[in-house]
Amino acid sequence: MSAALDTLLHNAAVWRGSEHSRAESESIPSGFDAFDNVLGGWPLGALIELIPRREGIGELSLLLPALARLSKDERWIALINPPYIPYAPALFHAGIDLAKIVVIRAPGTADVLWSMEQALRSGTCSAVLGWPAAMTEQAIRRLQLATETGRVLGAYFTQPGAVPRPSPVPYRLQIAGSIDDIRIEVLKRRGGSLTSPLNMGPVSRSRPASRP
Amino acid sequence: MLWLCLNFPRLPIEVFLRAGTPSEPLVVAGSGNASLVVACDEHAAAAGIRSGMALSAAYALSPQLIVRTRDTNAEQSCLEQIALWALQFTSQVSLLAPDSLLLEIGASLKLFGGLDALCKRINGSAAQLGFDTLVAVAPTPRGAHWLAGAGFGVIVEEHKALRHHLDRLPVTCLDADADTFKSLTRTGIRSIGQLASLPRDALARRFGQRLLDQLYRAFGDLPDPQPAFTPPSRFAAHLALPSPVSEAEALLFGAHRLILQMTGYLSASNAGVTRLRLALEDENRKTTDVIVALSIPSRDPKHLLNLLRERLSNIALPARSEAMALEALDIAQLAPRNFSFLPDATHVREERATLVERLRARLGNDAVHGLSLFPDARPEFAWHETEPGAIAQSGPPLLRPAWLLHHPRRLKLQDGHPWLDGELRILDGPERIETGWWDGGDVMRDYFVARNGNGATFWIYRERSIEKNWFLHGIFS
Repeated sequence: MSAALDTLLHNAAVWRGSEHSRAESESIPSGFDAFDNVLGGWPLGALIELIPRREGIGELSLLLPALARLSKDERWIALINPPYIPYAPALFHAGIDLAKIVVIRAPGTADVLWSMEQALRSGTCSAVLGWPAAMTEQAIRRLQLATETGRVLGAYFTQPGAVPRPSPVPYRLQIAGSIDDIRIEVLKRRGGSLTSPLNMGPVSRSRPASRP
Repeated sequence: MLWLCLNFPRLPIEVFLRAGTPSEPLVVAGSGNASLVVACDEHAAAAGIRSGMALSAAYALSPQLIVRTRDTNAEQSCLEQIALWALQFTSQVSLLAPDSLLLEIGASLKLFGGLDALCKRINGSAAQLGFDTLVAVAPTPRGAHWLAGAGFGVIVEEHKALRHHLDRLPVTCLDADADTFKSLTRTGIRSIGQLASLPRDALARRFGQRLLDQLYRAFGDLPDPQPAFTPPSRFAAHLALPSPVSEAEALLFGAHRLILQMTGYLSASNAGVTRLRLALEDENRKTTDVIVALSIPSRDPKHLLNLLRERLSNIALPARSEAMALEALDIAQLAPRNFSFLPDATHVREERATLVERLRARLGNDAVHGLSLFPDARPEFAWHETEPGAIAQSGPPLLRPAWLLHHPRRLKLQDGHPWLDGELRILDGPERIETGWWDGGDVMRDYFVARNGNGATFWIYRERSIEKNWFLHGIFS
């Protein structure tokens, strides 16, 4: 890029479309350059829908670097209705302070959504991840409001392989590839969708995280 | 010294009305044969019923009348409960049966931001408890009591002004027998002012020194010590419901009032509750206990009510509750906290405990837990459920999947290879785990990281027993 163009782009009066989502709200670095360059990190205060193409492709590991960072805070990291046991040795290995993790098992979808809303809204969580069996448009609206109130990293996983459907959720990301080569398709974000998928590269499975 | 008298003119009926208003007119009648209406609620008043009326006349005006016999015991215990609540405003509270409380507020003015602010706060807070109050302030306890009892809600700070106000009160303020009142009326003495202007020695001869002393004490010429109310060491309060209740919301309305009383008591003793019991009593005197446990002592009425709401929403309520009782089972001192500009870690920890309590109140205790490592080589025992927030142990850095299955799942084989949505290709391994022979849970396994053609990565193992079966144990999510 020419020097003249560079100075022009650094002028505060110049607004670039790709900066849109960054300017709008707070975020937390994801630990993946490809992701942070485009989305500016995981947004705080905006609900995120995560659609894994299938199980076991690093869909949870993708969030672990951000959770490790957030776990330095005194607030909770809430895992609501996870489909399996969130395995403590793996979370510890990723650098997460386990004392901040709280796992919530709710019997029905209504209780899962209620727990998510309570956790998101309370302001005592830094991150809330939910695995609801089903989601309605009305529930998304409520959870989005709670996410805004709590200014928290709020995300929920759909069933693996679910077909993306339009809904009022501000962020919709589809996860594909494998744990050593995760690809993210940004189907929806604040400031327009993205055409090309993000190649994230490998996550912590093959790259031991540095201990704090 | 400055005294505030809280008078509860409608106490006889409020004892029954605090937990909600019934749809039918309600009156409280005195006990005895020729019973008179002592107090009536709004519906009854609208029907033309007045206190002092014969019960039969009241029935004539409103045939569907609900009549409750006056319960002076309940009034007394109600007064004691309000005294507990009042201890948050001053350390010196006295009971004046049947319907008043005396608070020494001279020492509390600075803390609560002046006399007006304090009176406003006491009034508003009493209304939330479910009582109509009349507040009078005077430099002498008896002066305040007389003013409030006679319905003069005035604030008097000076002795001189007090004399002026007291002079206008009727002589019925005095504590005297019927004969004394009769002879006072006969001599044409109606007000305190008239009585006080008479020669003192003549007064004493005619009506006795006791009557005269009452005047002296009210004016502040004689000391008038008040017996201080001493709070019991534990809190328990009872509330009778006006009509049987089956819905949680209606119960919570009453419970809210009891909680406010309790939090007043708690703030007086600088404590918080860690376990409380709400006992719901049905018409057969059978009780249903609702117990709420907290991890950090609290006296925040909103938080306590929320916990109670969640508990009530998931238990079987008695079909018809007639009364409820709230009891603080365990109380702990609240650590004094300095106010700081930035939220400190202790504060955040207290705040976040409320979320866990809320979730547990609805989902049950076991539904919410924390995670920790446990030094055991067997993968299924290498972690523990803990109390959320418990200090985590440290462990060796091992390659482990983010998900662990609750029970290992046997894998199918195809041409001798483990199969899961396609053939599993080994990426890493084996990691040999052979341990646990001492407790019968012995494990002899070779663990591998394996991936199928779709890119899904799993943590699988092969038993080192004779069968050599393959199992799925984790998912690299």
